[in-house]
Amino acid sequence: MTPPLLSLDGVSRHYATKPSVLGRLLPNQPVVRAVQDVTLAIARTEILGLVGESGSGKSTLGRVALALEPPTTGKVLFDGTPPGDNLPAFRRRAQMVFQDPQSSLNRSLTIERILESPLVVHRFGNAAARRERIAELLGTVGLRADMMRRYPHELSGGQRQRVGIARALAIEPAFIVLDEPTSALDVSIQAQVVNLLVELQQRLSLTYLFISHDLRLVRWLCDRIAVMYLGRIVEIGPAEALWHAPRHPYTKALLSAVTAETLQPPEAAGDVPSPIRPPPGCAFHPRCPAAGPRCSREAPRDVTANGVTVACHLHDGGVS
Amino acid sequence: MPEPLFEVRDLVTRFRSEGGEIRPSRGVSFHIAAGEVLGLVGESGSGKSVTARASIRLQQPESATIGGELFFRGQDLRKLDAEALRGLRAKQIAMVVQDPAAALNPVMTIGDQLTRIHRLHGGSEAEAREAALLLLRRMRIAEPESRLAAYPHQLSGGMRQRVLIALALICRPSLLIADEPTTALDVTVEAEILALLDELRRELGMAMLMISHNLSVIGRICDRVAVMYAGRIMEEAPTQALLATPRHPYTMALLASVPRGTKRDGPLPAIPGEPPDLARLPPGCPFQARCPGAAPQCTAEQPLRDIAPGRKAACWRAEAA
Repeated sequence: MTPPLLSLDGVSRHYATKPSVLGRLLPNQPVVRAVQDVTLAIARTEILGLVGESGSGKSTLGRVALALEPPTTGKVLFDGTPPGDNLPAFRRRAQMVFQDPQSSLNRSLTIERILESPLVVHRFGNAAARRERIAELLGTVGLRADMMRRYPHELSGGQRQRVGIARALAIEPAFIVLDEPTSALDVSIQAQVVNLLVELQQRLSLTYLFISHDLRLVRWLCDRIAVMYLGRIVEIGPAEALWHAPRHPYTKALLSAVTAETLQPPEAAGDVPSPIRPPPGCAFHPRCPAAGPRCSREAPRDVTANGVTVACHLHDGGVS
Repeated sequence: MPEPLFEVRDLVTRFRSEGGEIRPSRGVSFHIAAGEVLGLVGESGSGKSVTARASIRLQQPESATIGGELFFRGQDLRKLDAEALRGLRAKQIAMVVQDPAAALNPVMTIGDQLTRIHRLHGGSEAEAREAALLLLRRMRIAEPESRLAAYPHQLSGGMRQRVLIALALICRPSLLIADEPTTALDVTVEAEILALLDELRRELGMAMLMISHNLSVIGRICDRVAVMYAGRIMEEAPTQALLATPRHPYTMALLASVPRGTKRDGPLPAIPGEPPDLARLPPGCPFQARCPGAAPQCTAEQPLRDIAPGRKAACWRAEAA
């Protein structure tokens, strides 16, 4: 088996909360456990989907995977080496596409300047070569070359997101983290952009970490899916296995909320608790329809069967 | 046919924009019976929110509404003075918007906001508090007593949205206009709120106009659906009929572009191009530039007309389908 392109080993990312005046005098500041003990590997040319609700830590995990934030504990390896060993080289190979192209593109620059900036940073050719590359990039994402003279506000939402993708592709990366890249787009435009992402992935042999809250879309696009809840991955496995036979009660609740054609009482009631004070044991137990006494006492271990890893007592000796 | 609770005929709204004059609603008609849920579905810029607000004279400035008739229980809303209109909107018609953070008063506690209307209507403090608590419990908000003393920023997004719905329902309205009420919420919370809205409609006999871009939300809660595109209703039908056998090419394309399988099934059937510039609409059907079946006939006006019992479409091809 070839080694994975990216691997996370026991990665956590904690943030200190803003201390009050009194709080600064006390030990044990509360911390936000945005990502908690995540281990996963992404194979070359794989598309891994990362789903979860707001506050689950999926965007933080994406940022840690790109070395935009250091892990508090644990190890990130890209192609077998820590990104920090040669950060400029890592940045050439790992890029990001953001959710909202409206705010992630500098509105005072033309599309040409926006796309030129990564080429300049990574010392790509002379001015003429860069211009040629920009025209080529626009073609790659399905935009006309004359778009380079426009400003972001002159483009539609779909066109802006194509520019965001072109910027990520500018220096021919191997790995791209896409953080909700189509959630700001209308359904009809979303389909165009998703088709483009698939085509690019196949043509350029790219590896994606695709972050989304849209399970239908993730099932459509991804090879494997990881489900996050309160900073932890509760289930990870092949997309079709998760879609047809979810094992973790949270995955089941998410799926039933998405696939229901009629109104039915939801399988997970109430709100997601705060990542500052996650519930003890399994963090999902207060909302879980299958929870037993063991779930509030003991954190579940990862158990792997048939390529699916799930962290739930139901699949590891029971909940009582 | 019984007289509808709410009826909008030929609504036209107009704004000036940088690109010229635009008309977000271009002759929109619909009706809602008591206890019925009508979905208004469309993409951004289709005019669904402006249409909904203008239909109860909430659109600002009001002069943007330049044509149409609005009837609520047979009463012509356009003839009401400001005070009568406010009274009607306080007691019989309520609205829930997408962003609860913007709709709740940030410097008033949840309790003050929930009891204010009761007190304005002359209820006692204790009665008002009891009614507010009852509603919060119905919304499955944990520890409702302590929530009454909380300010909006102290609640999660899902909880704020439920408070906003409670606020809309406190006077037991007969019509609720809900503009993307669950779009900002996580899917598990969304499922909870939709189930709750449906329960309340059965219990209070409340009618709803549910505005959404999400076909799955529309499919779960609406009796009938109207599909909007560039200021026009393109198709209207009972929900199950619309989802199973769409007759307008735009509805067909919209439904087809939702991911249903995996990428191994081939590319998603995307709708080519972009929605039209509202300041430069072509004559005739606004969807013609993106329509796979476009023909010379499409440059003629395509009025919304009956194509089957209970079904309407604005396409000359719709009967042949």
